Amino acid sequence: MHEVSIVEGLITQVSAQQKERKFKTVHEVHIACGMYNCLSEETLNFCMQTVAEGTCLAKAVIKVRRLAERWQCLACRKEFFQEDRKPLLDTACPHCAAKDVIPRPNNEIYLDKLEVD
Amino acid sequence: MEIKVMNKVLAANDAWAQENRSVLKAGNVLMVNLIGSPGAGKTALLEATLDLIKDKYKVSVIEGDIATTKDAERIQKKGVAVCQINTGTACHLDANLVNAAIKDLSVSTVFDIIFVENIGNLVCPAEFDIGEAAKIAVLSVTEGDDKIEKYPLLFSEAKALLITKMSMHHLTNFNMDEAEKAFRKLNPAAPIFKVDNLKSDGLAPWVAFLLAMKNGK
Repeated sequence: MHEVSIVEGLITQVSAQQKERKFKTVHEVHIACGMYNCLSEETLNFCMQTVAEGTCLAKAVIKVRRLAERWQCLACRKEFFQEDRKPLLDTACPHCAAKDVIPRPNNEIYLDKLEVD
Repeated sequence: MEIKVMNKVLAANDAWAQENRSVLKAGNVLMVNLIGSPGAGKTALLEATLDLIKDKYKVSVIEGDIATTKDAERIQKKGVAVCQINTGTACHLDANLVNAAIKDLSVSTVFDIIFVENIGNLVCPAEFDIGEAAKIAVLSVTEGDDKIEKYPLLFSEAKALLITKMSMHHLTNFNMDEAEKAFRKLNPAAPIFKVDNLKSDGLAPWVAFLLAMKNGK
């Protein structure tokens, strides 16, 4: 349940935003992360209900967006992006069809945007 | 109203990790973070590794567990300094817990190498930077070769992969070619070390890799 730590990080970030922007309630919290980050939207929302009680995030819903996965072709050296995760060994270069391709993942978790009142 | 933010969610953890990195760099200390499933052989690997280096280097171990001090007791028998972190419920070590452990260990001694044995888990520990020089993935043949593709974050971030329990390989259906192919896809550069942690077989290349990191080569 590393999601608890993620939610705690979110509360810290959003509280800092609240001080600056003076909003009262957060309706939606949008997170962006890489394809390989192990984040379950359901688990995050479950943790939020428990951890965020009494804060401006108490009724907020978390939505997770996966960033397109960046790959590099070792044959033609070109980069390409994949929106959906495919089995590792099934990915081929869209430019030259080579199978000699490697993922260049971005494994960061970002607070993307907030929907607030 | 919509507010665009685009900040890192784990910024607070990352700041602690950076603090750890600065402290370790100032003391010329190498810290490595061993990550693998429960039962992968992380503690046995540490015991065997300590036997090979503890007489030449000042070594200490940070043991992460949800409960019990069983692993710390095993490490203590090797005569090296050990600090136990019991997380209670948390499934990973984060950078501020490790910061406290580094301070605790460093009161009387300046170490050459600190090993962190993270909580047995292929998922959560991979998400958290603790200020280590390298995450080391530990995978035993009894777990299956498919784990690399199933848990790509750890294997893509690892600076080395140790495949353990090699003397049991012939008893399992672990496909070494598939494992190496999947790992290479995720991580073209990191070395793979095949070891038998209970017999200390094959540990020399791993120890050489470790000491090369320590000596900045």
